[in-house]
Amino acid sequence: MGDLWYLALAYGVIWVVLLVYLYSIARRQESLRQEVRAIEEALEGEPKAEEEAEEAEPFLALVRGKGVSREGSTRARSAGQGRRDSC
Amino acid sequence: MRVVASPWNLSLTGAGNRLHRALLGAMLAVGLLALYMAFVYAPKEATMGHVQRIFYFHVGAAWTALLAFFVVLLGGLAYLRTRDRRWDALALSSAEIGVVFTTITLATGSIWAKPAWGAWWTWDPRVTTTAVLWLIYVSYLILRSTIDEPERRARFAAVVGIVGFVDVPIVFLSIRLWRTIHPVLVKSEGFDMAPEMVHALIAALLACTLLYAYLLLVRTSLERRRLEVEAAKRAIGLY
Repeated sequence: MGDLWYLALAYGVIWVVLLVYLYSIARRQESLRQEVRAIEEALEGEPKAEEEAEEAEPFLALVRGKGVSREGSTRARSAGQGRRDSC
Repeated sequence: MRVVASPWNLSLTGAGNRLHRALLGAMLAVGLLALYMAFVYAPKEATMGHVQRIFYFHVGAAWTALLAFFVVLLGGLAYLRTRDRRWDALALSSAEIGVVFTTITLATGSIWAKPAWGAWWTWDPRVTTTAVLWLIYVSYLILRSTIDEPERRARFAAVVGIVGFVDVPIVFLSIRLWRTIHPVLVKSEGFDMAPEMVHALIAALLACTLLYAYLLLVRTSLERRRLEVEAAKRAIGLY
């Protein structure tokens, strides 16, 4: 084998090792992004439940024979928002 | 929180983003210049021919690996002193990059050794101590993956990182302490090579150092974001 072959092999190895490492970093970043998305989805699930409770509230009030109070649900919503902000 | 998949487009803010772009630009410019100097500017060596051109980035990678392990030492000491996990993130990132550069050093050295010494591998003191260094920091990374509890993992890793650094001066001094066939780069009368070769070597050292700084920025940022995600998951009870 000629000396140019060894030279090409050595620089080829350098590029391959660096590219494999950069690829591993990119994959870890992607996996982290998916985790962030999962957290966001988990947090987005909470307001939905609150909205459902809010929608159900007027019917519950009618059943109870009282006026409709939105104060409780607003408080619950701001508590949920506060929890999201802290993350 | 925004995390972008490509390491070329890392989501940093403000000064971090500017540093990232500046480092990337400097690294690419100096890297291309160093490649030009290694392949075109530096003359062909009389006895070894073109194979000698491996030497520029082989030495650059070796220097960067030792620098990376020094940063692991500093990160470990700072973690043990402050118990701040950001220092542990720095040490881990530097250890990973150090292993990458030691792998390049061993591989390019082995490829150079075949035409120069007639064998892919010899148990020369410099080669052996470098292989031991590689094993120490691979063990450091393996150890980290075996401990679940974050504080304990960081503490153990810091100790291994500090103790492991003992091998770094041994690697550096091995060609002076023992009989070796490894070339000695710097002699008492200075560099034993043509001035153009010294220039090409300096360019390669600079390119490898900039590459290390860039990779360290990217990897440390990823690790710190991972810590933030871990903390967020714990806060909302996903752990």
